[in-house]
Amino acid sequence: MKRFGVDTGGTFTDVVARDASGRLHVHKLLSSPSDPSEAIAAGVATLCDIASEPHSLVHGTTVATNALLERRGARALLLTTYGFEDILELARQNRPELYAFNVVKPAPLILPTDCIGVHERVLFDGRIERPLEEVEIERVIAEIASREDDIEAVALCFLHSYVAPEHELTLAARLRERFPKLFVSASAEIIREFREYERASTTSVNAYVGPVVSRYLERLSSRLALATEIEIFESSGARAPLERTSQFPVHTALSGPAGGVIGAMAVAKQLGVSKIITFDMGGTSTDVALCDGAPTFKEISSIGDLPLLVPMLDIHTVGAGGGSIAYRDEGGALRVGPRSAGADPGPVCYGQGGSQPTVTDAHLALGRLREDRFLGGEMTLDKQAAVAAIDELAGSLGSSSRQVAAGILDVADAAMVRAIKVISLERGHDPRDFALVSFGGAGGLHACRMAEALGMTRVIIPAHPGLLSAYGMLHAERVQYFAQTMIMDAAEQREVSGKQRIADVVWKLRARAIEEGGDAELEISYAVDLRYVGQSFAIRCEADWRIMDSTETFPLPLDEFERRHEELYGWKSPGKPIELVTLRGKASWSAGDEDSVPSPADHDALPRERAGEDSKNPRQRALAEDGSIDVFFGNAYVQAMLRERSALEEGDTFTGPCVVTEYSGTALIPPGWTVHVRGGHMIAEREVEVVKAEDA
Amino acid sequence: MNAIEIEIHRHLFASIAEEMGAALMRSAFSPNIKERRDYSCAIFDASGEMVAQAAHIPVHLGSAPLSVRAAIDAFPALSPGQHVLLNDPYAGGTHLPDLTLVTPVHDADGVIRFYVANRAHHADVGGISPGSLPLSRHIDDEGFRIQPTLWSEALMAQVLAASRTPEERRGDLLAQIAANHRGEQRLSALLAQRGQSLLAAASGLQDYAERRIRALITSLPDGTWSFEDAIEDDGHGHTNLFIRCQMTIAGDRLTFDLRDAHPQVEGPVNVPRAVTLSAALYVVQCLAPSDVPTNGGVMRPLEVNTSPGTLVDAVYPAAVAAGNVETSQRITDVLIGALSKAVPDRAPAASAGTMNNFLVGGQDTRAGFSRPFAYYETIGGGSGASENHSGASAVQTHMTNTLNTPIEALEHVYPMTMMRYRVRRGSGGGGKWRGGDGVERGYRADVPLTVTLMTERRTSQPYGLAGGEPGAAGENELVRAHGERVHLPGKCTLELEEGDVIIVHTPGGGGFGEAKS
Repeated sequence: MKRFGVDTGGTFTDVVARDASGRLHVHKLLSSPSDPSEAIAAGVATLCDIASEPHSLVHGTTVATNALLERRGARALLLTTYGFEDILELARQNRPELYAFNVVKPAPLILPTDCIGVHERVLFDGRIERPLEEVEIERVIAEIASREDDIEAVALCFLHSYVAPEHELTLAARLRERFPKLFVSASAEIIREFREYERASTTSVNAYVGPVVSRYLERLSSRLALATEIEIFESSGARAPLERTSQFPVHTALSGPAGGVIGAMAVAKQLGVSKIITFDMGGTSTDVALCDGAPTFKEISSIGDLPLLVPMLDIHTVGAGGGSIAYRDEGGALRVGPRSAGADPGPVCYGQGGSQPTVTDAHLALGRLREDRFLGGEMTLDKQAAVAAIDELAGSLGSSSRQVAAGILDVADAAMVRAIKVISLERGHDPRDFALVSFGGAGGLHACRMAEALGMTRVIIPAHPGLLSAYGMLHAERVQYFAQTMIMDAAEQREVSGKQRIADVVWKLRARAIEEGGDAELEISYAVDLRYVGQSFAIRCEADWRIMDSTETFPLPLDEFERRHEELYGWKSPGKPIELVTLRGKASWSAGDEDSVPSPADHDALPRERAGEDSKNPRQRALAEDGSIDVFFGNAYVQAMLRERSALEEGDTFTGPCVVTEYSGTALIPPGWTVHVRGGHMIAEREVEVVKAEDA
Repeated sequence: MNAIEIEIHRHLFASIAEEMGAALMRSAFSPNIKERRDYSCAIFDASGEMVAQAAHIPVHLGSAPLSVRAAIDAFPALSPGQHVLLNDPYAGGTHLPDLTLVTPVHDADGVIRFYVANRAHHADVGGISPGSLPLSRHIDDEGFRIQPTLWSEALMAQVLAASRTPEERRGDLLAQIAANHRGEQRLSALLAQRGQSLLAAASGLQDYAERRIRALITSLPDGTWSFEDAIEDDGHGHTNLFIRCQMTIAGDRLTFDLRDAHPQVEGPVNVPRAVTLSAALYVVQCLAPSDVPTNGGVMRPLEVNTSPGTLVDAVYPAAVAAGNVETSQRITDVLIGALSKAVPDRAPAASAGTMNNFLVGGQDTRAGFSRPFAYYETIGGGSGASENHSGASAVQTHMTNTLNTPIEALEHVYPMTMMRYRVRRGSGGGGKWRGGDGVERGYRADVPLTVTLMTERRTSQPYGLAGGEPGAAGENELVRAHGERVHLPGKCTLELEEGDVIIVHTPGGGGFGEAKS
């Protein structure tokens, strides 16, 4: 039996497989953008005799993401409560740019003329003010029938359907019956939370990408017809059955960067570390996320300009990466990004026509990158060209070339440090309590510097940083999240009626979980969103309700709420009424997934990305053979050791300054840092200084 | 300060202002702050010049420095842990619902190096009608007025006592304290770390913004142009209250001369000079490239001339409640109109020109007991078209950018049911480039309610440019429970019975260029 994690990116498809003995096998091949399933099937077949060996896979797909970003989804209708047809166009009524004479609002996914009002009305407490009558259902059906040839999907989102979904569900069922070819999506099937615009947006996205994703998944299933199971990786970092994704593809819309986060968590867990900040620096942007034992989720996330009310990891992106272009702006400041040279033409040093200096060029100019070791020596960088481009910029800024090269890196760092502050300090976490896990092509060059700027003392650079996302998919848990908005004064939990309301919702969530994934090995943990009465943002608090007995009551974690409130905002108000907003359940069926924590031994068996080279020169790690290089640190050049990552062995220890190169990137270990190699991972640590409080 | 330091410090300061904003929004109580984000946070240097602002509400932008100035003048030697609260339009404020909190940041030697400030719109601070934007005749009709005063429990008790919704006020005030506290912590840590270089950066960033703005003004043609528009009425029968602007561009200096404005009037449409400054800064910031930071340097090449005692520079005891939200929009229209004569291809036609303020209050009796409430919201409209750009529909324009309150949140909290919320098709002005359409929003009273409407462009229309047609005027409509339809004036306070519906139709934006016939 082989279990696969497969991540399809724009350029490469990464395949990681675990066999019955626990060994890992990896393969990287070119993607097949017109039909990604082609490369997936080829990749799986490379590592497994599909005819004779049972296999299953977890797949991270960007089909939904790309359909959205490129606006290539299906033409869909949106049905809303009558009088509220323009919900998508109205959005939140604000404009994206505060200071711009030309107001440009993002175009809605569904044309205004494709939005139809339906006569029905549910009130805030679930009472029905205007029933959905049969004659109205027939009118809507006739309207859709007249457009049937032009559309592929229908989204439904009625006011307050999170509390009383009957109208939506009734109409959706009738539409499915009457129009079996249409992809019909009702908001209540996806979310039971309040905020009508965000819910309508989510449902529209689901309808818009639904036909595209379903067709793709059909192709994938037929190409992998022998697989025992195909699961899809979701934006929440969990995996789900393929059938669920066919129905609710919106859950995959932001799954791309989540794989790396789950992979980083698996690596950290293996090293006994639970608090990490992930740092994924690529060519054009950098993704950062915080995991405090478990990943954190966004309350409301978005793709492009479209808000989505589905569980998504809280991944924060900034437009700074290795390819970010440095330039002098009109006011004479040195700017870096968000424009990027991307992979084509790429940085100046790639020699493919890039003329403006990038972050990568600055590294090369300062000796941090080796021109002869890029991509394992497959590509030689043009250092002279990089230096010349920086010289030119330095001339226009009136600074020395060296100052400007160092400045480019400082400016890029400032943007990335700010991103990490957003996910840590702004959310009430001190980054100094966390280890920075760095992956992505450019991450290793910045990780220790970032850590220093944030007062962090430990950096982890996983084995195989280039395959971490596929590795993460292999470690994804089988989880689904359920939520139900039920606004209620917390004090009511002392009354029979309040107890009953909470119990009813708990049992409903449980029933929905069983319906989705069965009773076997099901575990549900609960959380509640609480706020002081009158607030509109709530704090999510775990509720310890493991006992599933109908005589049980479900006490709300009010003390925990006040503790968190004080931690986040610096005050609490004991005695002030607290309100329950949304009750959440996390259902997992992951019991029995013994592979969720691989043993360190696995990594000794990890094939190197450039395995051939490694096996021929197993003892290349002697310092003398690796040589040294002059690298600019702080404000002077110092001599740094050079090391090949593939030559490192378990238990090796070395100190900075040091430059470690491998196929997918270069890691820079500054003076003052010590690296230990454990489980194939590099753990860089620095002496804990006496750090003043709050200087992060 | 070198090119690199500018950029690094821009990130450092902005990140603190944004973190203050996040703290304020997340712990505040009123939907007005949390859902609609009617607040701003900023950092000031020791002399009260703005160093960085988190981009929130333009009308707060130019006026906040005057608040900090007023706080410094009243309390030049604040100690760590002290805060100054104010809202007095005649001592650094704009209108009474906007409460500004100013907090000093000291270095290790106890010297004040920075101030942090935040301003939040409170849904009720007393006055003669719920929501504290009344049809007033005197500043004292508008609510509780606070000259710069040291923060204390006693002061908070006074604010609470004046408000119809004290519990909400308390939560919002604590959130304001929390936000400044957060900013103060971060800045003093940064001071300890960077010391003198941080101070140099604070002034270097302002110099940088000044250079960018001077470069911008230099690129505009020299000359003098003028434009005029008017506030329709003050709610007390005084109509057509003109505002005239003479704009002069000379080299790298830009002057807006607004001395020829209507004398201040009885109704609440007057503004303190701070609001006029905000409008001028807003217009310049829109004209500038989007990456010019918002700080004190932007103001330096500008001159704004006003005469005390006029609509745009009111003196005590003029009523100002609606000036901040309505007259600020008209001043913006006038400034942009003047600009359009200098650079016709860069200035847009008029946008809705009103914030369509809807204020409501009463007793929520739905749960079987009586709970007082006050709620405030503004409604978007159409934005003006310009050369090569149609206007956007249903959007907050110019001096505000608040969000709407989700209907599903609003109906939970307040005894109202929304009857419609949609785009007002066809209300944008025609032209080669069409103005954006306005909005229709209908509210049904589920218990007896007091409603105040503070709206403009109900008789006049947002102007078109270059032959484009004006946007449609807005309309306020009352449909009584028994079916009678009543046309409401632009500014009014009225009592609703259960089942009555108010429908606000907001103006469209002006068109640009002649439409092909």
